[in-house]
Amino acid sequence: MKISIKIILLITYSVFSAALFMGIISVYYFSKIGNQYILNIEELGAENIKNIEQDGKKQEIEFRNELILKTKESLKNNVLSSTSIVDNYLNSYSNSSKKDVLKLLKNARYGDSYQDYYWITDLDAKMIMHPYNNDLVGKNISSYEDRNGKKVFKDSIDLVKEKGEGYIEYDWPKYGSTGQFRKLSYVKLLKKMNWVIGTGVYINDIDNKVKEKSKKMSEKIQAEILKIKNEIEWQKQQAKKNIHKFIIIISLFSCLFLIIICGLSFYITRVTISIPVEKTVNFANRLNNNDFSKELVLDQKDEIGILARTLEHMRKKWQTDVMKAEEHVKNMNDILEQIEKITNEIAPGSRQVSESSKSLSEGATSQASSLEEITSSMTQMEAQTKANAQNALKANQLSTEAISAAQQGNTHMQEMMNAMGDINDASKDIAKIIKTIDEIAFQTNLLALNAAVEAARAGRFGKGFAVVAEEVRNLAARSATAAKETEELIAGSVSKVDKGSEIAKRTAQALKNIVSETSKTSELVEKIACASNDQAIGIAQVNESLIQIDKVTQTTAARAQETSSIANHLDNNTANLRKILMRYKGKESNISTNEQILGIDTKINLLENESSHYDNNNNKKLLSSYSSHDYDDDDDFGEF
Amino acid sequence: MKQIGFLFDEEFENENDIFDETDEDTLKDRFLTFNIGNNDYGLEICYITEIIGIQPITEIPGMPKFLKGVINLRGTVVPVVDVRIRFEMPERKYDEKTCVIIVHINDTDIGLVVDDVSEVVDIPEHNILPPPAVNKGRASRFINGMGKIDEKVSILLDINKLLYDRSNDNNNIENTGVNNEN
Repeated sequence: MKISIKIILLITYSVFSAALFMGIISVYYFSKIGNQYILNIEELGAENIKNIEQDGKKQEIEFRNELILKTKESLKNNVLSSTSIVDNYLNSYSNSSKKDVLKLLKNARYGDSYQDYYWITDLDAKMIMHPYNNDLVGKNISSYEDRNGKKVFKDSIDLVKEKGEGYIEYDWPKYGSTGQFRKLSYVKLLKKMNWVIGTGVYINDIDNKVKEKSKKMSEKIQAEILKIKNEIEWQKQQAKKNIHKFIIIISLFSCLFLIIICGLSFYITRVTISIPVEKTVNFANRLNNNDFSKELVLDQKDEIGILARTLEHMRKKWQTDVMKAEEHVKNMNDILEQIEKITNEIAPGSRQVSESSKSLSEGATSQASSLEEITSSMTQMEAQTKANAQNALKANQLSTEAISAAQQGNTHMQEMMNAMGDINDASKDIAKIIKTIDEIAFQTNLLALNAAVEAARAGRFGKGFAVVAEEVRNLAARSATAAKETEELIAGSVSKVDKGSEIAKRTAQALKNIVSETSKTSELVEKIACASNDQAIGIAQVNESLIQIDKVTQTTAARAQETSSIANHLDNNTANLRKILMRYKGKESNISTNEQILGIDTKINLLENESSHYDNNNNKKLLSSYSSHDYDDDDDFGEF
Repeated sequence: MKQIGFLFDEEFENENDIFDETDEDTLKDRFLTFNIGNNDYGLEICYITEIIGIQPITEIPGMPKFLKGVINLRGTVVPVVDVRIRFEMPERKYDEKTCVIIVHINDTDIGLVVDDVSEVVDIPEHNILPPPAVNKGRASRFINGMGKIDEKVSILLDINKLLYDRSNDNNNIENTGVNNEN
């Protein structure tokens, strides 16, 4: 398993477990909070319901109180209005109408069912008037008690006595129904008559109204409560749904997060650990395979970076070492190759030397014979050169003669040109004369024509004359044509003279050129004569030198033979050296680089020993053989 | 000389025939031929008094163009007509060959300037053809006929028309004649 995969597995495991733990906790807490929230909602709902119910009750009581207040007001108003009516009535009609008043009041009714009534007692609790209970009229009813033991009339009389008017509450049988009902009454004292006028309404009416109202209210409230309960239920459901959603979203997000974390960690491990490690491993493998060419560059500061730098350092060190070793081997090989090359070159060279020295000695003998031939031809040449010089002198004389002849020719040419000019002038004179002749011919022609005309006019007498005139005219015409021809001829001769003079001019120029060229030629001939003399002297010197060369050639031939023997010796020595070198070469080819490096030193030592030994021996020999010929080395070996 | 003698002999042989003819007959059919440009022209000899070389011409201003001027002929002032200009041909500079033919017509001497004078020839009547009827152009109205001489044809001029014809002509030659007489 690779390091990167290991690390990734580790990270994945830890992150996954952490995420799982966190997820469980968060889900737990969320469900808890959700439940709390639901409970809260329920509590709030219950409180609301309670409040609403309380509100309903309160409203009911308030409604009742209000109704009672209204009833009290109306009672009071009724009593006040009736007392005022009775009072007025009594005032206006005096005592006589007491019965009428009582009658009036006895019949007075009000209320919803038009059954509420007035009653009258006096201050001694004697019933004066009561519309429904005639039994009580005229009786003292101060001891009358309702079912609760309340002395109704006595209390009311007391109240009137004390305050003049007021409310009193008690139970009283209702008209048209059995049993006693709660009744609220208002009593007022009519002072004039000492009457207590009272009236009352049954409060159970009010209670009925209130009950009706409260019933409606409670229905409404129940509906409201139902709504609220539904709302609470919906809220609960919603909350539960939300919690579920939230839990799902959280788990999804945590999964995504987990994947991202894993990816990132994979990437980071790959970049920071896995790749550098791979690189380092590859590098180490390369080092193991003796490949030092590529560098390892890791820009990291962790342990891998340190490892890479150390490896790189190692690689550099090894590389320089190997390069040095290779260089040593190369140098050694070069040296060996050079030695081999030199020996290879020396071998044919020494052979060539021996051959060449042989051919040299042969050449020297043939040289000597050709030198003799040269000497004989040189003497011939000397004689010829002398003859040359004499001929040149003769040529010089001839050219001076030619110059004088050319100059003469030039003067003649000048004379000829003058003569031509004269001819030209004469031609012009002749042309003038011819013109005159032409004119005369014309005039003659005219005359002849006139004569002809005259002859014609003269008629037959003029006939002969006409013939003469015709003849004269013909003559005039002929002379005119002759003059014209002569003119043409003269013009031709003039142009020819012009041409001739032109040619003469050119000839004169040519003659001048001849003179100058000939004088140059004579100078050259003179120089040739001088040079020929010098040549003759030079040839004599050459002859002397040739004799010396002959001597030298003789010695050269002798020396060449000696050289040949020495070259043979050198050839043998070279062959020995090559044999030794071949032995080393044969060993070299089967050895690896490392072993080469190790073996090279010993080889070098061996070689050095042998070569020094060889050099010493050979040098001694060579030196001894050349020491006697030191003075003319350049002459003998220049050709190699 | 031999040739001349021969000619004379011939002359004498025909003497009788010649004597039969009248003076007018001798002048008839004889023409003086002259050149203008490349053409030969002929003029009846009876009008001709003499032929002279070109002489200095005194120009007279206000005259028609072809009336070149006047010359002094042995004390007589003679008006000169350039036939080239009369024929409405391009003018040409006078040279040594240019001649003036003096004609006598209507008691007046008039000089005709021509390029060159050729000869005096006989043209019998049967050798004279009427002028070509094709061209009724300017110069053709002066033509009397076409005279055949050997291989050549000479244009025979009507001297009266040449000098005095004013039809189809802006110039007035009669005036000059009158002026000259006066």
